[in-house]
Amino acid sequence: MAPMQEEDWIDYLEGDIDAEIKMERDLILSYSQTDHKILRDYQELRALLVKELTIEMPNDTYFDSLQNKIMSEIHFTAIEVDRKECEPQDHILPWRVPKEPWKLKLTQK
Amino acid sequence: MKEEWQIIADVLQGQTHRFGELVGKYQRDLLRMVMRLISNVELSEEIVQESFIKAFKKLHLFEGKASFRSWLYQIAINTAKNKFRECKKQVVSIDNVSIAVASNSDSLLQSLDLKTLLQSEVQLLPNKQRIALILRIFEDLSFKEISHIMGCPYDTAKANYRHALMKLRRRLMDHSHLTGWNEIETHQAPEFLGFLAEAKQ
Repeated sequence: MAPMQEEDWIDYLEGDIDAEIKMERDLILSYSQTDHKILRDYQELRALLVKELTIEMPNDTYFDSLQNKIMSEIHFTAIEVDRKECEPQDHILPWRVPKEPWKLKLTQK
Repeated sequence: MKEEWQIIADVLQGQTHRFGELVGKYQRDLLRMVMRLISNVELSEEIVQESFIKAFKKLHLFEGKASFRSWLYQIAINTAKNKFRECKKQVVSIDNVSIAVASNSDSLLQSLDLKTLLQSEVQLLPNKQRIALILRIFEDLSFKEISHIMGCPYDTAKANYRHALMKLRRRLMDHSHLTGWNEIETHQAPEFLGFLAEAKQ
Protein backbone atom coordinates (compact mmCIF):
# COMPACT_ATOMS: atom_id res chain seq x y z
CA MET A 1 0.00 0.00 0.00
CA ALA A 2 1.40 3.43 -0.94
CA PRO A 3 2.28 5.63 2.03
CA MET A 4 -0.33 8.16 2.99
CA GLN A 5 0.26 11.80 2.16
CA GLU A 6 -0.79 14.66 4.37
CA GLU A 7 -3.30 15.73 1.73
CA ASP A 8 -5.00 12.33 2.08
CA TRP A 9 -5.60 12.96 5.76
CA ILE A 10 -6.97 16.41 5.09
CA ASP A 11 -9.48 14.86 2.67
CA TYR A 12 -10.31 12.26 5.32
CA LEU A 13 -10.85 14.98 7.92
CA GLU A 14 -13.08 16.95 5.56
CA GLY A 15 -15.17 13.87 4.82
CA ASP A 16 -14.38 14.24 1.14
CA ILE A 17 -13.66 10.60 0.34
CA ASP A 18 -15.61 7.51 -0.72
CA ALA A 19 -16.87 5.15 1.98
CA GLU A 20 -14.53 2.39 0.77
CA ILE A 21 -11.47 4.62 0.98
CA LYS A 22 -12.57 5.80 4.41
CA MET A 23 -12.62 2.21 5.63
CA GLU A 24 -9.08 1.67 4.34
CA ARG A 25 -7.89 4.76 6.12
CA ASP A 26 -9.65 3.81 9.32
CA LEU A 27 -7.61 0.63 9.19
CA ILE A 28 -4.38 2.56 8.72
CA LEU A 29 -5.22 4.75 11.67
CA SER A 30 -5.62 1.70 13.84
CA TYR A 31 -1.93 0.81 13.54
CA SER A 32 -0.01 3.85 12.30
CA GLN A 33 1.06 6.29 15.00
CA THR A 34 2.51 8.64 12.39
CA ASP A 35 -0.73 8.90 10.43
CA HIS A 36 -2.71 9.14 13.63
CA LYS A 37 -0.54 12.07 14.71
CA ILE A 38 -0.92 13.81 11.37
CA LEU A 39 -4.70 13.50 11.48
CA ARG A 40 -4.78 14.67 15.10
CA ASP A 41 -2.64 17.70 14.24
CA TYR A 42 -5.06 18.73 11.52
CA GLN A 43 -8.05 18.18 13.78
CA GLU A 44 -6.43 20.36 16.41
CA LEU A 45 -5.40 22.98 13.86
CA ARG A 46 -8.95 23.28 12.63
CA ALA A 47 -10.24 23.59 16.18
CA LEU A 48 -7.57 26.19 17.01
CA LEU A 49 -8.41 28.31 14.00
CA VAL A 50 -12.09 28.35 14.90
CA LYS A 51 -11.40 29.04 18.58
CA GLU A 52 -8.63 31.63 18.29
CA LEU A 53 -9.73 33.53 15.22
CA THR A 54 -13.25 34.49 16.24
CA ILE A 55 -14.35 37.85 14.91
CA GLU A 56 -16.03 40.28 17.24
CA MET A 57 -19.14 41.39 15.41
CA PRO A 58 -20.92 44.71 15.88
CA ASN A 59 -24.28 44.82 17.63
CA ASP A 60 -27.76 44.79 16.10
CA THR A 61 -27.96 48.59 16.04
CA TYR A 62 -24.96 48.69 13.72
CA PHE A 63 -26.59 46.22 11.34
CA ASP A 64 -29.91 48.09 11.37
CA SER A 65 -27.97 51.19 10.36
CA LEU A 66 -26.01 49.29 7.69
CA GLN A 67 -29.19 47.87 6.22
CA ASN A 68 -30.73 51.34 6.10
CA LYS A 69 -27.66 52.74 4.33
CA ILE A 70 -27.75 49.96 1.76
CA MET A 71 -31.47 50.27 1.09
CA SER A 72 -31.22 54.06 0.84
CA GLU A 73 -28.65 53.70 -1.89
CA ILE A 74 -30.68 50.99 -3.61
CA HIS A 75 -33.67 53.33 -3.60
CA PHE A 76 -31.78 55.46 -6.12
CA THR A 77 -30.39 52.56 -8.09
CA ALA A 78 -31.84 50.80 -11.10
CA ILE A 79 -31.47 47.16 -11.95
CA GLU A 80 -29.32 47.04 -15.06
CA VAL A 81 -31.43 45.11 -17.52
CA ASP A 82 -30.08 44.48 -20.96
CA ARG A 83 -32.65 43.28 -23.49
CA LYS A 84 -30.15 40.86 -25.03
CA GLU A 85 -29.46 39.25 -21.66
CA CYS A 86 -33.17 38.69 -21.18
CA GLU A 87 -33.87 36.87 -24.43
CA PRO A 88 -35.64 33.56 -23.80
CA GLN A 89 -33.21 30.78 -23.09
CA ASP A 90 -33.61 27.07 -22.44
CA HIS A 91 -32.53 27.33 -18.85
CA ILE A 92 -34.95 30.14 -18.16
CA LEU A 93 -35.73 30.54 -14.53
CA PRO A 94 -39.05 31.62 -13.06
CA TRP A 95 -38.06 35.22 -12.61
CA ARG A 96 -37.05 35.52 -16.23
CA VAL A 97 -40.54 34.59 -17.39
CA PRO A 98 -41.74 38.20 -17.82
CA LYS A 99 -42.16 38.65 -21.53
CA GLU A 100 -41.10 42.26 -21.47
CA PRO A 101 -38.10 42.17 -19.17
CA TRP A 102 -36.86 45.57 -20.26
CA LYS A 103 -39.82 46.98 -18.36
CA LEU A 104 -38.17 45.76 -15.19
CA LYS A 105 -35.73 48.64 -15.35
CA LEU A 106 -36.77 50.96 -12.57
CA THR A 107 -36.77 54.64 -13.22
CA GLN A 108 -34.32 56.58 -11.13
CA LYS A 109 -35.95 58.76 -8.52
CA MET B 1 -34.70 28.52 -0.69
CA LYS B 2 -38.09 28.74 -2.38
CA GLU B 3 -38.85 31.82 -0.35
CA GLU B 4 -35.59 33.37 -1.46
CA TRP B 5 -36.40 32.78 -5.12
CA GLN B 6 -39.74 34.43 -4.55
CA ILE B 7 -38.03 37.45 -3.01
CA ILE B 8 -35.70 37.70 -6.01
CA ALA B 9 -38.62 37.37 -8.42
CA ASP B 10 -40.53 40.07 -6.54
CA VAL B 11 -37.54 42.43 -6.60
CA LEU B 12 -37.17 41.92 -10.33
CA GLN B 13 -40.86 42.67 -10.72
CA GLY B 14 -40.33 46.03 -9.04
CA GLN B 15 -40.78 45.31 -5.34
CA THR B 16 -37.41 46.83 -4.47
CA HIS B 17 -38.12 46.93 -0.75
CA ARG B 18 -37.99 43.14 -0.66
CA PHE B 19 -34.28 43.26 -1.37
CA GLY B 20 -34.01 44.50 2.20
CA GLU B 21 -34.95 40.98 3.33
CA LEU B 22 -31.91 39.59 1.54
CA VAL B 23 -29.73 42.29 3.06
CA GLY B 24 -31.04 41.49 6.53
CA LYS B 25 -30.45 37.79 5.99
CA TYR B 26 -26.88 37.96 4.69
CA GLN B 27 -25.27 41.18 5.90
CA ARG B 28 -23.79 39.64 9.06
CA ASP B 29 -22.31 36.64 7.25
CA LEU B 30 -20.95 38.87 4.52
CA LEU B 31 -19.36 41.36 6.89
CA ARG B 32 -17.79 38.59 8.94
CA MET B 33 -16.32 36.96 5.84
CA VAL B 34 -14.98 40.23 4.46
CA MET B 35 -13.49 41.17 7.83
CA ARG B 36 -11.46 37.98 7.71
CA LEU B 37 -10.07 39.01 4.34
CA ILE B 38 -9.51 42.65 5.14
CA SER B 39 -8.72 43.46 8.73
CA ASN B 40 -10.24 46.92 8.56
CA VAL B 41 -13.81 47.44 9.76
CA GLU B 42 -14.51 50.61 7.78
CA LEU B 43 -13.20 49.17 4.54
CA SER B 44 -15.08 45.93 5.18
CA GLU B 45 -18.33 47.82 5.64
CA GLU B 46 -17.69 49.71 2.41
CA ILE B 47 -17.14 46.43 0.60
CA VAL B 48 -20.32 44.91 2.02
CA GLN B 49 -22.37 47.93 0.93
CA GLU B 50 -20.88 47.90 -2.55
CA SER B 51 -21.44 44.17 -2.84
CA PHE B 52 -25.12 44.42 -2.04
CA ILE B 53 -25.55 47.30 -4.49
CA LYS B 54 -23.80 45.28 -7.20
CA ALA B 55 -25.93 42.25 -6.38
CA PHE B 56 -29.07 44.37 -6.72
CA LYS B 57 -27.97 45.86 -10.03
CA LYS B 58 -27.07 42.45 -11.44
CA LEU B 59 -29.89 40.50 -9.84
CA HIS B 60 -31.32 39.58 -13.23
CA LEU B 61 -28.05 37.74 -13.94
CA PHE B 62 -28.32 35.43 -10.94
CA GLU B 63 -28.93 32.05 -12.54
CA GLY B 64 -29.46 29.95 -9.43
CA LYS B 65 -26.69 27.48 -10.36
CA ALA B 66 -25.25 28.06 -6.91
CA SER B 67 -26.92 29.50 -3.83
CA PHE B 68 -27.63 33.23 -3.60
CA ARG B 69 -25.24 33.32 -0.64
CA SER B 70 -22.42 31.86 -2.79
CA TRP B 71 -23.14 34.38 -5.52
CA LEU B 72 -23.07 37.20 -3.00
CA TYR B 73 -19.78 35.95 -1.56
CA GLN B 74 -18.30 35.85 -5.05
CA ILE B 75 -19.28 39.47 -5.61
CA ALA B 76 -17.87 40.45 -2.21
CA ILE B 77 -14.53 38.72 -2.79
CA ASN B 78 -14.11 40.36 -6.19
CA THR B 79 -15.07 43.72 -4.71
CA ALA B 80 -12.59 43.19 -1.88
CA LYS B 81 -9.82 42.35 -4.36
CA ASN B 82 -10.53 45.53 -6.33
CA LYS B 83 -10.67 47.62 -3.17
CA PHE B 84 -7.45 46.06 -1.92
CA ARG B 85 -5.70 47.00 -5.13
CA GLU B 86 -6.90 50.57 -4.78
CA CYS B 87 -5.75 50.82 -1.17
CA LYS B 88 -2.62 48.71 -1.70
CA LYS B 89 -0.12 51.41 -0.94
CA GLN B 90 -1.66 52.15 2.42
CA VAL B 91 -2.69 48.69 3.58
CA VAL B 92 0.16 46.52 2.28
CA SER B 93 2.99 48.71 3.49
CA ILE B 94 1.69 48.76 7.06
CA ASP B 95 1.10 45.02 7.10
CA ASN B 96 4.46 44.24 5.60
CA VAL B 97 6.34 46.23 8.19
CA SER B 98 4.70 44.58 11.17
CA ILE B 99 4.92 41.07 9.75
CA ALA B 100 8.55 41.47 8.62
CA VAL B 101 9.64 42.54 12.07
CA ALA B 102 7.87 39.62 13.75
CA SER B 103 9.27 36.99 11.40
CA ASN B 104 12.86 38.20 11.75
CA SER B 105 12.99 38.35 15.49
CA ASP B 106 13.09 35.09 17.44
CA SER B 107 12.65 36.80 20.77
CA LEU B 108 9.57 38.61 19.52
CA LEU B 109 8.14 35.35 18.24
CA GLN B 110 8.52 33.72 21.59
CA SER B 111 6.38 36.39 23.19
CA LEU B 112 3.63 36.04 20.60
CA ASP B 113 0.58 34.26 21.79
CA LEU B 114 -1.07 31.57 19.75
CA LYS B 115 -3.83 33.83 18.49
CA THR B 116 -1.40 36.40 17.15
CA LEU B 117 0.65 33.68 15.53
CA LEU B 118 -2.36 32.16 13.81
CA GLN B 119 -3.63 35.56 12.67
CA SER B 120 -0.32 36.52 11.12
CA GLU B 121 0.24 33.12 9.52
CA VAL B 122 -3.22 33.13 7.95
CA GLN B 123 -2.61 36.65 6.60
CA LEU B 124 0.70 35.47 5.15
CA LEU B 125 -0.97 32.76 3.08
CA PRO B 126 -1.29 33.40 -0.64
CA ASN B 127 -4.67 35.00 -1.39
CA LYS B 128 -6.26 31.96 -3.02
CA GLN B 129 -5.23 29.66 -0.20
CA ARG B 130 -6.43 32.13 2.42
CA ILE B 131 -9.80 32.58 0.72
CA ALA B 132 -10.31 28.81 0.39
CA LEU B 133 -9.40 28.34 4.05
CA ILE B 134 -11.73 31.10 5.25
CA LEU B 135 -14.65 29.86 3.17
CA ARG B 136 -14.21 26.27 4.30
CA ILE B 137 -13.40 26.61 7.97
CA PHE B 138 -15.20 29.80 8.97
CA GLU B 139 -18.07 29.88 6.49
CA ASP B 140 -18.50 26.10 6.38
CA LEU B 141 -18.98 26.03 2.63
CA SER B 142 -18.61 22.91 0.52
CA PHE B 143 -15.72 22.66 -1.94
CA LYS B 144 -18.28 22.84 -4.73
CA GLU B 145 -19.52 26.19 -3.44
CA ILE B 146 -15.97 27.37 -2.86
CA SER B 147 -15.01 26.48 -6.42
CA HIS B 148 -17.98 28.45 -7.69
CA ILE B 149 -17.18 31.48 -5.55
CA MET B 150 -13.52 31.45 -6.52
CA GLY B 151 -14.24 30.73 -10.14
CA CYS B 152 -11.95 27.71 -10.25
CA PRO B 153 -12.31 23.93 -10.68
CA TYR B 154 -13.38 21.82 -7.70
CA ASP B 155 -9.93 20.19 -7.41
CA THR B 156 -8.22 23.57 -7.44
CA ALA B 157 -10.42 24.80 -4.60
CA LYS B 158 -9.55 21.68 -2.61
CA ALA B 159 -5.85 22.02 -3.43
CA ASN B 160 -5.80 25.64 -2.27
CA TYR B 161 -7.42 24.59 0.99
CA ARG B 162 -5.04 21.69 1.53
CA HIS B 163 -1.97 23.79 0.85
CA ALA B 164 -3.22 26.41 3.31
CA LEU B 165 -3.69 23.85 6.09
CA MET B 166 -0.38 22.14 5.38
CA LYS B 167 1.47 25.45 5.51
CA LEU B 168 -0.19 26.41 8.76
CA ARG B 169 0.61 23.05 10.32
CA ARG B 170 4.28 23.38 9.41
CA ARG B 171 4.45 26.91 10.77
CA LEU B 172 2.82 25.83 14.02
CA MET B 173 5.27 22.99 14.36
CA ASP B 174 8.05 25.57 14.10
CA HIS B 175 6.53 27.19 17.18
CA SER B 176 5.95 24.05 19.16
CA HIS B 177 6.40 25.97 22.42
CA LEU B 178 2.99 27.49 21.72
CA THR B 179 1.21 24.41 20.44
CA GLY B 180 3.00 21.52 22.09
CA TRP B 181 3.32 19.92 18.68
CA ASN B 182 6.40 17.91 17.90
CA GLU B 183 7.53 15.61 15.13
CA ILE B 184 6.64 12.06 16.08
CA GLU B 185 9.28 9.37 15.89
CA THR B 186 8.37 7.29 12.91
CA HIS B 187 9.39 3.84 14.08
CA GLN B 188 6.55 1.43 14.50
CA ALA B 189 6.09 -1.00 17.37
CA PRO B 190 7.44 -4.47 16.41
CA GLU B 191 4.06 -6.18 16.80
CA PHE B 192 2.68 -4.01 14.00
CA LEU B 193 5.40 -4.77 11.46
CA GLY B 194 4.03 -8.17 10.55
CA PHE B 195 0.54 -6.76 10.24
CA LEU B 196 1.84 -4.02 7.95
CA ALA B 197 3.56 -6.55 5.70
CA GLU B 198 0.32 -8.48 5.39
CA ALA B 199 -1.67 -5.31 4.66
CA LYS B 200 0.74 -4.36 1.87
CA GLN B 201 0.17 -7.73 0.22
